[in-house]
Amino acid sequence: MKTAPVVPARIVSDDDGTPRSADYGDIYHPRSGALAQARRVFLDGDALAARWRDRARFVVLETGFGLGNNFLATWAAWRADPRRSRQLHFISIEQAPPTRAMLASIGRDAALAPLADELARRWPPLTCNLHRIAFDEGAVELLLAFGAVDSWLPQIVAEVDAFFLDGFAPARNPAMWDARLFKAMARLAAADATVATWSAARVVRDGLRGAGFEVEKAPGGAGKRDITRARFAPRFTPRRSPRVAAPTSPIAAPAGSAPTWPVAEPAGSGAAAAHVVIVGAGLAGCALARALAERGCRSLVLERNADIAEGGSGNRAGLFHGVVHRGDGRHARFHRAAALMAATAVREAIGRDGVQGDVGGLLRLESGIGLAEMKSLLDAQALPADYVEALDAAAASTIAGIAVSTPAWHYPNAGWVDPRGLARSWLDRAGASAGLRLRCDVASLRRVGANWQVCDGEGAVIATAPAVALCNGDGLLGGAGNAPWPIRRQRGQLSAIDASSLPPTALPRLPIAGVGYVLPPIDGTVWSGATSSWDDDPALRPEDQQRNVERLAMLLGLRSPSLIAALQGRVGCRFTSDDRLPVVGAIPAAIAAEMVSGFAAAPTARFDQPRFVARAPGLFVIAALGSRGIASAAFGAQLLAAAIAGAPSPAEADLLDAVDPARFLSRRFRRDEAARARASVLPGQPPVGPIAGSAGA
Amino acid sequence: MPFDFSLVSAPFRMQPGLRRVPAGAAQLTPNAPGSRHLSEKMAVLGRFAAQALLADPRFDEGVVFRAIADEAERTAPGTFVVDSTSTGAARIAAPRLGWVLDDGRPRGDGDAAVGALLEALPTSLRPSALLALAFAEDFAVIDGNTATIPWLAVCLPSRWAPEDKIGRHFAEVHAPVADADVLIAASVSLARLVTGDDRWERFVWTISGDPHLDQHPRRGSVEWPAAGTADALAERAWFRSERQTFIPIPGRALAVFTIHVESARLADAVTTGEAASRLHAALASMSPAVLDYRRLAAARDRLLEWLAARAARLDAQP
Repeated sequence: MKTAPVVPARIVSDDDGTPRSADYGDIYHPRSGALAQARRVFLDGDALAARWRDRARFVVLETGFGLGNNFLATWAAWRADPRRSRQLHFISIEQAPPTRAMLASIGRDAALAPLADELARRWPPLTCNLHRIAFDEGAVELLLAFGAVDSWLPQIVAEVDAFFLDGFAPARNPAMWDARLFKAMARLAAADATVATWSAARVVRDGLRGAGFEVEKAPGGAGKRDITRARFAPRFTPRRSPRVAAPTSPIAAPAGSAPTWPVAEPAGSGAAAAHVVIVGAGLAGCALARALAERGCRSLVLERNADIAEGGSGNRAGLFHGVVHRGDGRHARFHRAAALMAATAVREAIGRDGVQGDVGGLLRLESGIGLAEMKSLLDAQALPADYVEALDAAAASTIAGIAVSTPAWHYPNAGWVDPRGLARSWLDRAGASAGLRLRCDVASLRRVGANWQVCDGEGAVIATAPAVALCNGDGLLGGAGNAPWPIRRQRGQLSAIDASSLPPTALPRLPIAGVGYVLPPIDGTVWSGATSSWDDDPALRPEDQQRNVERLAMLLGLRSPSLIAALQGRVGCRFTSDDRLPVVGAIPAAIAAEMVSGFAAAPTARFDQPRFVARAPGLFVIAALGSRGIASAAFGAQLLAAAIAGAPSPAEADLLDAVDPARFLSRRFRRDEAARARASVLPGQPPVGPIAGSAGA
Repeated sequence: MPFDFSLVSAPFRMQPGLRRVPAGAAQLTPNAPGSRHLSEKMAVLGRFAAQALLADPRFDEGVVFRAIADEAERTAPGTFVVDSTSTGAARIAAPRLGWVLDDGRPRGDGDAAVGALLEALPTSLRPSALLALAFAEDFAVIDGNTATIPWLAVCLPSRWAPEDKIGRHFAEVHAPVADADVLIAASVSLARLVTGDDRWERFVWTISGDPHLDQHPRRGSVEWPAAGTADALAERAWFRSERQTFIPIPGRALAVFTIHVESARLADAVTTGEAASRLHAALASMSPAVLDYRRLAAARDRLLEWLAARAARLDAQP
């Protein structure tokens, strides 16, 4: 996906107060009122009240969020309807979104004003991401894509029940009504999907017909002659988005059905049967349990240790923050989306469960480039100040509360948290939807019928479920065998320094990162770290303590590191993939065949792109979270839970590709193809074998 | 509004339990003339204003009045208004009560007892008093930078003394609370959170033998009868709940903490089997320290007996 800077809307008011886009010269809604149009054209046009009745989930996709009136009207109608769907997902794409201040200043109909206030409070930074905002305790999910509709629509992964087409007039903004967009809609449309739009333009009606929709005109009302309604009725089955067309989970319920997923009986337990067995109760596993519970799925979490979050998630505190890269590629987008999602999750954990942490910002010291270059980097990508800003040393010092000698990146929506507390909070929030068994070492899996049996080292069945998610750091079972993905274990050592041994003027008010990092005092202790080495020595090393102390002295501007004594420390390990992105998604059948004895891989027709690779049914992984475990767990769990439950994905398709466990197969395939091509013209090259489970194997 | 018993969970744990205020939910409740909250607040302010209206002398309480007036304009119009007179002096009004403070002087045609009360108070306390009377809620201010409480207007405390909390750190404020290790450890984190952009709310509850809204520990209290049957005790038991919310004051790292106390006869509050079962499970799981702190130890067993019977009876009803 090619991203572009997100430029805020320029909104002016007509004499009668109707808001108008200065860029498109068109009004945001008719003079008869935004709420009236939303109800008449979209809510009635798509017959929402009749169609979401008693369903588990209802998905709306809108082109043109504008000022959010259609979302607010839909949310208000959903709230007022006692027979509403259990969950409402509203996906909306907007190229020129309003800023938070603009949104807060817009006059609203009285019925929408309270909801609009909440929307403005929760409004995300204007970055090119799919922003997830959950309302009403997670029952309402708004997925906001900021950017051009032709870039975003092919990236949406969802099965859509109702489309709202609400771009500016076709004559003023033809890109919003292009025939290719209607075809992209057809790939997302559920069997009974409908379309509603205020436009009755010929180009719209013809475009919809050409994409397989039956189109009708309807009376417009409120001074408008006609509007358009359409129903998805393709003459042939369209080629679907591979992720929607081939759901990998046997528990994914069709969007409209009641949640009657098949479950297996738990082995030797009176507890309610789980839809998903989660292996590992670290950050990833606990986050997944919570995210699944939000979507109505039950899980059983199995942990080999005596308590949760004892491995890589067991540090006293950890950081979360975004990144700025020169190119706004997949790494930058993933870590940005993950950090923003983590900020929301950490705020909730502090508020609900008293987890120690703070979302009060983070400074990343910059010594490689100067302030001017930092600012030009932000300008080029139009990254907003509520995501990141470049500060000179003086401004950074003011925020940090200590003297900082270099410019710094300031991430206002970043901070630190107690990872173990966060994991416990996630598990608590899953409530009765998640069970936990400690000292449960999973060694192998067996495929029996439509279920997976999770077994211990003796081969005894611990649990049975239609789906299993490996959330145990490396995504391996029993620690044996060759890793199915290029993943490495990295040792890290943190050091704890008595805050009273440091000058009060050297204690930062917020986390400071650079070469290593230092946290503000927590219960009288300053944590600094972390070292990294490719070994698994569990013992605290004096030389690593010394290195951390030196880093701390450098970050805090202390001249005499030799006077600082590290009192204690902690050694942990993290797993990192070779491309430094996590491994999240459904496990390819070819890899499952190597991991699970007796599992026969279905042939895969295509390996060139991850999204076409065949999967083992109901087998998933979150692994290789690296040094960004807090943010990656929060985001990765949401991605995986959506995939497992068949809900709209909170990440765009190419980000799903970027973290897909199948990406390594695809790379290998492409590399081998290139080698074959070279061999065909360069005799003497060694032969290249097929990938196990491929159609050619 | 009836208490949502789905918020009662077992095992009972002292935790923040903050959740975002649902969109559109009001955080201020206007006091109607003659209401129970107004009557009890007037009784407190008439005799114990110095225990209820407290401010750190360095704190600018005008910020609080303006923030609450802004919030009231949005969700409870005509309840509390702050503006200026033609001479530039502050004018603070509680239109529903029919009283105004013009540069500190009470004027109005509402209940004369309110005017007399305001007149009797020192001028410096009158704005806080009028605010306290205008709403059912009690108020406190939290400073996110220092995690301290620089201002309070609390007439109806639940067995705590506002005068002991003024200027104190969040952790000190919660120090006497039983099993509050989590709250204390997270006190700085919580203070920073609630003074951010979001609005939060939490609900707390207890069962009390004292029917009064005002349960200041130094103003007397009603104790549980030492003997008697479970039914007899339940007849004297009150279900006391608090909705606490935070109204952030943007750009100042401050938040107004609101406390809305309600109290109803236990038998009137517990009207479903599920409510009785939830209360039973939570009460049964309270530690001895929590039972002592909440003065429930002497009543625990009889309350459990009554709740179990109540749950069985209500569940058996068609």
